[in-house]
Amino acid sequence: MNHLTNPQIQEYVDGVATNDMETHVRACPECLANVNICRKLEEALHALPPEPLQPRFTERVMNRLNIGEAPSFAWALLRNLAPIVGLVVVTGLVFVAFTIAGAFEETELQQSTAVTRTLYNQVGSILGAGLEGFNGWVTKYFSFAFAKSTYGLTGFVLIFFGAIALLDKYVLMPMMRRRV
Amino acid sequence: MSLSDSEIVDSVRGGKKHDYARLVERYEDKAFTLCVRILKNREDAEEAAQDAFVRAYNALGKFEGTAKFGTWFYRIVYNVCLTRLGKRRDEFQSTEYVDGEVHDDVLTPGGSLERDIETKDMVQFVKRIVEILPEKYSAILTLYYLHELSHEEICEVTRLPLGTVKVRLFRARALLQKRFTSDISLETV
Repeated sequence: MNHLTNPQIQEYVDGVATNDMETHVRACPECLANVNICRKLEEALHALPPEPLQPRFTERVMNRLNIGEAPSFAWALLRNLAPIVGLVVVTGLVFVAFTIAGAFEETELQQSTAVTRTLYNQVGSILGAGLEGFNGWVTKYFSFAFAKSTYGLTGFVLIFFGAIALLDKYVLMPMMRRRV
Repeated sequence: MSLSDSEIVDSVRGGKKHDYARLVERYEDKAFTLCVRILKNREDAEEAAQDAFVRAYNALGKFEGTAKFGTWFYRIVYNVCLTRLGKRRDEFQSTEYVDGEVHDDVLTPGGSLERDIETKDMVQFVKRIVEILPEKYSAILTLYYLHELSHEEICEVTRLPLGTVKVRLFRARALLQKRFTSDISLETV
């Protein structure tokens, strides 16, 4: 058999060689060398990495499309909690309005308001206990925030929520993106 | 859990536009590489890749899902690059490459090609050669080896007949081999 042609060498490397070709390559150093070159090139072609992009390419594309960033985790949470917060606020406003209008004073509605008042008292005591617990926890572990300045609490709140916002933007959101 | 391309496409079509960023992040490297291989200029390539993503977004409604998103998208990238290349050639009347002809000057890269071979850094060597191959060869090589498309998928992307795709792939490999054997003796392989 004559030396393998280039297409035959490629076929050999691709694993579709005939028996004749296999026999010839085993006996012909020249064709074996060509096969080896072809294999090396093939391996190198498979190993070629993609070209490195300038940073923030995705951001530039999204800007061109006028599509803003995905809402942050905190914002999504707030948005999901909005109905509950709204309900609490509306209930509170109604309660205040009823109080101003004297709806809870001793009137002919005494019977029903007594029940309502009991209910509110129970809710109030639960909320109060919760707030008291939170307050105790904050003063125990973040006493430094209240030690020297009357603005300590404000500072603490700002730092606390600032930290949550930063955590959200630089840790949680990138993690969520990487999951894709 | 990783979403599939078609799930992301559905999500974007469903109104979650910012989910498109996930597709961009997934395909930006390969799209940019294809652009670099065809346009031979990084700035042009970045613009072309951006154009392709914008076009794909605007045409997302036409994506039927019968083909893979990648194949559909690479076709857009390929077309954007060819359009840019056409404009550039109109402007500069650059050299035309004729199928089947191999010009030695085409395969004369600047830099340290010989040194790459001496150090047997095959990947670096091949990269340099692929960078200077005529775009019709480097595009096919990129689609085949980096994007890992089949011959048939390359036909879909380039709208070339199967025979032409196979011939170009073969010639591209032959060019690499020719350059390799002319730069290094068989004993050192």
